[in-house]
Amino acid sequence: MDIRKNNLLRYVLWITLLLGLLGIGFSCHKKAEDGPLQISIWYPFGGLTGQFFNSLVQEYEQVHPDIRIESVYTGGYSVTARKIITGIVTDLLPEGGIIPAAPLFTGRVGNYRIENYLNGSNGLDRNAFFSVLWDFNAYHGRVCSLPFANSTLVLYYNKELLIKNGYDPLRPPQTWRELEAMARRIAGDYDKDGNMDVWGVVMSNQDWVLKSMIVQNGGAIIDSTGQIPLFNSAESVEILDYWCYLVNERLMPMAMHDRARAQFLGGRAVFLLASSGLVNTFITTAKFEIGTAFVPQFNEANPYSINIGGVSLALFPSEPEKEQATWKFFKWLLSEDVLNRWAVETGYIPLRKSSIESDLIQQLFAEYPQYRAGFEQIAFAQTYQHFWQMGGMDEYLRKAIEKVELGVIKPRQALDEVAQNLLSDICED
Amino acid sequence: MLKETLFSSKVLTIITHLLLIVVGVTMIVPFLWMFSTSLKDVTELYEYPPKWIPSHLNWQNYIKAMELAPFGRFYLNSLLVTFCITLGQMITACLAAYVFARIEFPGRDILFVIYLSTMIIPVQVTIIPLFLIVKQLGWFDTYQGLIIPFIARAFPIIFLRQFFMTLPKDLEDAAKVDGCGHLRFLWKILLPTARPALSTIGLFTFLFHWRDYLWPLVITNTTEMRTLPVGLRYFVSEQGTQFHYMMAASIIVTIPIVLIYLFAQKQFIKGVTMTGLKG
Amino acid sequence: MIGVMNGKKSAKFHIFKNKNIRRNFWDSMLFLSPSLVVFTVFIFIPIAMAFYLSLMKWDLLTADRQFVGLKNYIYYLTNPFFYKVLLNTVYFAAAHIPLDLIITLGLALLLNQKLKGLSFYRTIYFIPVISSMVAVSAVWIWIYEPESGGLANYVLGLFGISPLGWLHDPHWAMPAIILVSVWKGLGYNIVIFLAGLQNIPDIYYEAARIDGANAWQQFRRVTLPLLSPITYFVILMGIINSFKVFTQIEVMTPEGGPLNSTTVLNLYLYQEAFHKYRFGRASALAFIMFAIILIITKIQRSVSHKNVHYE
Repeated sequence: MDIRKNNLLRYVLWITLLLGLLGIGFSCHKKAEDGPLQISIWYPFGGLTGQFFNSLVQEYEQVHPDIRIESVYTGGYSVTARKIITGIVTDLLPEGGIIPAAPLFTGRVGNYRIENYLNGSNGLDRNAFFSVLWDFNAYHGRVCSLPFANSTLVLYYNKELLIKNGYDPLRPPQTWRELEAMARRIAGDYDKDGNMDVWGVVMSNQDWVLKSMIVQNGGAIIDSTGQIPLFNSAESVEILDYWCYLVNERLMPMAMHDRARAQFLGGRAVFLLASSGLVNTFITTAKFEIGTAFVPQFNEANPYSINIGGVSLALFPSEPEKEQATWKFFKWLLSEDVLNRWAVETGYIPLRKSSIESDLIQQLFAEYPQYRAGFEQIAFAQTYQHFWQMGGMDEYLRKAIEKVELGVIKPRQALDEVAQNLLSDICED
Repeated sequence: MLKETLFSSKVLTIITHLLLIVVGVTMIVPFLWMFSTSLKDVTELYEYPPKWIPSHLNWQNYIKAMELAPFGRFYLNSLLVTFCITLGQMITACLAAYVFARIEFPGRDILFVIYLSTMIIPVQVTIIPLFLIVKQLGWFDTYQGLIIPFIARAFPIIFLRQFFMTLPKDLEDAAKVDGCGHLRFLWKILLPTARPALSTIGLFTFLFHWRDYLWPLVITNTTEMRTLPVGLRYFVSEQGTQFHYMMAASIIVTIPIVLIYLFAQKQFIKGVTMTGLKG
Repeated sequence: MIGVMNGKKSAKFHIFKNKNIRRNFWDSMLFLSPSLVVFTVFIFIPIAMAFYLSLMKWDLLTADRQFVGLKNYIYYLTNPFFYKVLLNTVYFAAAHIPLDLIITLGLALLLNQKLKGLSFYRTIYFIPVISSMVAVSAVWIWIYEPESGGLANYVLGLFGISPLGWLHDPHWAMPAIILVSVWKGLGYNIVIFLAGLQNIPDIYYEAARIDGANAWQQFRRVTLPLLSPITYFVILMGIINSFKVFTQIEVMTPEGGPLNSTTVLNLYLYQEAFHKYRFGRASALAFIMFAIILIITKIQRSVSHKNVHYE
C-alpha cells in the first residue's frame, strides 16, 4: 500500500513541477498595443549624459503625445555593440539606437533605409552639417546612419602648472615642438625619489592620437575601399619614432594610457590628449583650472587635421508607421536647438555649421571657453570610412604602441606587423 | 603541566586573533576606501596624493546615486529573480543530487559527468544560442527569461551530492523498515539532516545570481525589468565614471546582503555540528 | 565520504537492493527530469548550436556563411598566440589554486576553534565575495596605482621595496590579478572548509591525542585525510573556475594586460567573438577550452584516487 501511495505522491510532484515549468512558459508576455504609438530607442550614455538624453526624450513626448518612446540604457559602447549584434542575430532590434560603429550594423547588413528618409520630402539638409559627419556615417560610400554624439581629440592643459612655470596660460602650444619644450621645462621628479612627480604629456585613447598624428603628418590609415592598410608608411614611422622619443626623454609615461585621465586630473601631467567629449566632466572634476586647445600640429607644413569619433543614430527595420515616428524623433534630435542644447549639456560637438554662431553656444564660450577647442576643431576633422575590421585594427595599434613604448620592438617593425595582421584579417573575412 | 597548557593556549589564542585581524584588515581596507570615496566631492576623486578623509562628508551622494536610476525597482527585481532562481535550483538540485548520491542505475556515472561538464563550457559562446531559444519561447524581456534558464545548475547538484554521500547508510536501513519510497525518504529524512548543506548552497546560489550582470542586460530591454548589477553600470560612462556615486550605490546594495549573511551564517555553520553527522 | 565521479564507492549506498534495477532507473529519471529538461533546453541545445557554429565561418550578421569543418580548430592549434594564452591561463590556475587552497584552509582551521568574535571574522571575510566586481575593481585599480602614490606601493615602501608597476608591468600584472582573485574569493572556500572541518568527529582527535600526537601530527593524520574529499571538491571547482576566469581580468585589464600578459583563454575568446566578430572561430576555441578542462579534471580525478581518503 505504502508503495502505491508513494507513486501517487511522485506523480503529483512531477505533474506540478512540469506544469509549473511549462505554465510559466506559455504565460506569454504581451505589451499593451492600444494607446500611443510606442517605439524604443537604445542609448549608451551613463551618468549625466544619460540623464540629459532621457530628459530630451520626455520633452519630445510632451510635445508629441501620440508617441511613447522607451529609452533603454544599453551599457557602455562595447556592451552596446554586443547587444546590437545579439539583436541583429535574433531579430530583436529596437526601432532606433544610438550606437558605436553604426555603419557596420546598418549599411554592412544592407540597411540603408535612412537614405530614403534623408532624401525624402521630410528630409534633412545635409549641407547644414559638416561634411565629415556624412563620411563618418557611410558604408561603401552610402550614408546609413545619422551623426549625433561626436567628438574630436583635444589638448587639455593644466593652467596652474603653466602659470607656475612662467608660461602664458592663454597661449597653449600649437605644435609638438612647442609642446615638447614646455613639457620639458615643467615635467620633473621634484622630490628626487626616482619617480616623476609631473609628467609632460599623457594620452588616453592612444590609438586615436596616433591615427590623428599620422594623418596630420600626411600619412593615411587605410585606402578608400577599406581593403589595404596604409599606416605603415614612412610618415607613420616618423610619428611612432617621435612617440618613442617622448617616452625615452621621460616626458611621457611608459605604457600607462589607461591612467592618463587620473594622472592629469590629479595634477600629475601638464598636457592631456583626450576626447573633447570629456570637457564637461573635466571642468567639474578638476581642482585646478583647465585649458583646452587644438591638438598640436606635428608637421607644420600641413594644415590641422584631426580624426573624428563618436556614436550615431541608427534606424532599424520596423513597421512603416514606427519607422516614420523614429525618423521624426531623430530629425527632432538633429534640429538646431536640440543639438545645441545637447552640446552645451554634454560637451559633444554641435554638428551644424551654423551652431557655433548661435547665442547658446556663444554664451557657453563666454562662460566656459574650454568648450571652444573641440567645437571649432570639427572644421578640420577627417575620417576614414568604416570597415569591418576597424575595431581589430585599433586593438592592434594599441598593442603596437605598447610594445614600442616598452622597447620590445622598433616602430617600423611594429607597424609592419600590425599592417600584416590586419591585412590577413581582411583577406580572411 | 595544566598551567603550562593553559598559558600556551592563551598565547595561541592571541596569535590566532592577531592573524585573523591582519587578514581581516586586508579584507576591509578596500571597502574603507570605497566608503571614503562615496563621501567625497567630485573634485576630490582624483586628488593626488590621495586623501582618506574627505574635506566634507557629502552624504547627499547616497541620495543622488539612488536618484540616478530607479534603484528601488532594480532591488525588487533582483530580489525576486534571485529568490526564484535559488528556490528552483534547490529543488532541482535536491532531486538530482539524491539520485547521483544514493540510487544506482546503469549510465548514472556517465550522466553525472555530463552534468559536471555543463560547468565547463564558457557562457560567452552559448549566450547567443541561449538568447535565440529564450526568444523562441517568447520570454524576451520577462521574468521567465531571467529566471527559468537558471533554475537548474550543476554546481548545487554536485555540492549536495557530496553532502548526501556523507550521510550514514543506517538512515536507509531504518527507512527501509518503514517501507519508505525514494521521495518520502528524501523529503522526510535526507533533507532535514542536510539542512546546513542546503543553506550553504542556497547562499552561494543566491550570491552567484545576485551579481549576474551580462544576462540581465542582454535579455531585458526595459528599465522595469533590470536588476541591480545593471544599475551599478549606470555610473560608468565613456565620459568618465562617477566613482563617488558608484561607490555609494554599491555600499547601499551590499549592506543588506552582509546583514543577511551575518544572521544566516549561524544557520549553516552551527547547523553542521548540531546535526551530528559524523563522517 | 565524498568522492566526485566516484561510482565504485557509491555502490555501498545502493539502497533498496531487493527492488529491481529498472524501477530505480525510472525513479531516477523522474527525479532527474527537471534538471534534465532545463539543461537540455538551456545548456545542451545551445552547446550543440555552438558546436555547429564552430564548424562554420560566420560573423552571424550577414547571410554569408561557410562550412569549414575543423579549420577553426586547426587555426588555434597551430597558432603560437593560442599557446601563449594557454600558458597565461595555466599560470593563473597554477598560482591561484594552491594559494587559495592554503590560505583558505589555514583560515578555516583558525576559525574552527572556539574563539570569541568568530562570526564577526567570518562576516568580514565574506564581504568581498558579496560585493560588486565593478566597484571592487575600481578600488583595486587605485590600490595598484603604478607610481608611488598607490596603496600597494606604499605598503611595499614600508618594507623598503621600490614601487612596482603592478597592472602596468608585464611581469607583475598577472600576480596582481591573482592577488585580487584570492582576496575576492576567500570567503567561499572558507565556508566550504568550515563545513567540512566541523563534520570531522572529535573522537578522531581524541584518539590521536591519546596516541600522543601533537597538533601538527593531528593535522596531518586526522584533519587532512578526513578533509580530503572537501579539498578535492574545492580543487575541482578551482580548476574549472580558474580556466574560465574572466570578469576580474576583463574589468582590470580589458586589453589583456601589458604585452598580453593577462590574456587568458576566456578573454581571448571574448575578443575573438565580440571584437573581431568571428563567432565560428570563437566557438571552436570554447570547445578546445572544454577539452582542456575536461582532461585536467580527469587527471585530477585519477591522482586523487590515490590521495583522497574515502571512509
